[in-house]
Amino acid sequence: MTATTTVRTTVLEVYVHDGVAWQYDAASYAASCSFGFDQRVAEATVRRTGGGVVNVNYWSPIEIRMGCTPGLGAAIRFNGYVVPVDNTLFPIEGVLVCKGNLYRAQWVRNQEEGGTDLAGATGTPDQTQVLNVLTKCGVTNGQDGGAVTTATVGGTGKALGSIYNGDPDDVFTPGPYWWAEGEPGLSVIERLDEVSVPDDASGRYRTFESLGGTIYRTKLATTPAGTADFTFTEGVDVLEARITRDPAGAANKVTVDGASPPGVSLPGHIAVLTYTASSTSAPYLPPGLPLAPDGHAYVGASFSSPLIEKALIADSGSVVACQAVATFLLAEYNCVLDTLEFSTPRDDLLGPGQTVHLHSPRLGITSPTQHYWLQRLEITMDESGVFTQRLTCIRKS
Amino acid sequence: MPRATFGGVTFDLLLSGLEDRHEGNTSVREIPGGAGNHYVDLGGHLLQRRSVQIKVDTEADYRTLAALPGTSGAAGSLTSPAEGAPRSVVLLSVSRTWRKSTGPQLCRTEWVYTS
Repeated sequence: MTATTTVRTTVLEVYVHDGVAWQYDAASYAASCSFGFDQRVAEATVRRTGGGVVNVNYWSPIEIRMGCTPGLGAAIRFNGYVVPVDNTLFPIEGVLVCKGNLYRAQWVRNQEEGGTDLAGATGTPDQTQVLNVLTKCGVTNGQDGGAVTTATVGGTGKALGSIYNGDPDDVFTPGPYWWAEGEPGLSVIERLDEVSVPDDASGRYRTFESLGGTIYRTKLATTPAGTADFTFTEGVDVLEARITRDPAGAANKVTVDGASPPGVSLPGHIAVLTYTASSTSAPYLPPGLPLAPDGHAYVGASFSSPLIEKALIADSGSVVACQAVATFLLAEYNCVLDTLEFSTPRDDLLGPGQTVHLHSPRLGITSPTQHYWLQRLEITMDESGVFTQRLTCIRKS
Repeated sequence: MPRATFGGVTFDLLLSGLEDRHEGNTSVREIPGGAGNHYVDLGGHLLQRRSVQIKVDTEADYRTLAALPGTSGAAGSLTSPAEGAPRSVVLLSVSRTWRKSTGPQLCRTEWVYTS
């Protein structure tokens, strides 16, 4: 193996929109951006010296470009807003705390008196409901990205709310598909996302934003693809790495409870739609657990949402089924979670949801097919111009 | 011994011990556990700094210079004909050891060139 030396020029460019045009902020000298499915919105911080001629205020659109040459150069790594501004008296230093475009949905609360019915009388697809909330919150794909559309926002296409959207005789209790007055838009979106599982249980739709600020809603499962988008190698391009294998939270039985529509409950007893998915295969369980009548041990997890309107997939109605959600969640829960964290100086256009491979004999990762799902990414350019990307990846085993 | 001026004060630049520092933001990282791969990140140059001992002629000159660091008046030209065209410079600090007399005296100074 021959040692190589990679000499590269690092670049950081921060642009702030002053209401008329993008202005280059020459006072910025360091930045850090983070994206991940473990955080609600993308975040970034920009450190800058005081003064400067760029007018920065809360909600100023901001774009951070950084990278290396050779490499991707000044590639877009963040697009969002400045909220809030944090200044230090001496030495004069300002920190621009930035949030992604999706943060508008977290900040904006529904102002419609009495709330908003997102489903209507005949039901509305989840992606349409999400789009309506995003539009009401004023969420866009960034200053230059235009409106969020169905081009990037997908969904199950089911007419959610068509079977049960609350008790029509109860005028005081809002239905499950109501966006309550004063409730943040992102809370509603997250409530819809967590039940948006298609009948084949192949994933769950999740609303998130890309490095460039575009809002996406795609079907996700924490399963890496068969082919890695990027491969890293110990001793070649990995600065430090660690892996943890933790069975905490694992379960081989998942019970999903849904809505309580009329006809399900009996007098004096409120019943809900329900389905339990289970698997006898669970090698991570500690020995000595009491056995169920079928001779196997089970550890259960549960999930409930009034947005699930039928128990079985085969039941009538184009709505989400407890069975589909339970089947999806069982695949997510019935495993030991390997969490791999490492950092690299490489300048690749990484993003959460990608499949990455790390070859690391010291960590025991030598199989060429052992890929990981990128859950979180942090991109940093420090005050000395050092460029580093830190990845947090997971894999079910 | 060249004469120089700054802030209206003329003084001697003592060449002995004069130190010019030309540095850049350069990070050298070795990838651990391998053949010795390195990543060298070039983050741009830093301003030239100078540390030099000067000899001022009077206590009044010393007091004039001592009032300049940390003020807008600290920016100007450190004119030393031997170094060619004058360059913009900021006086960062002035220090001296205590002395009894008020005549010529030695001071330690730090400067940063801004052009």
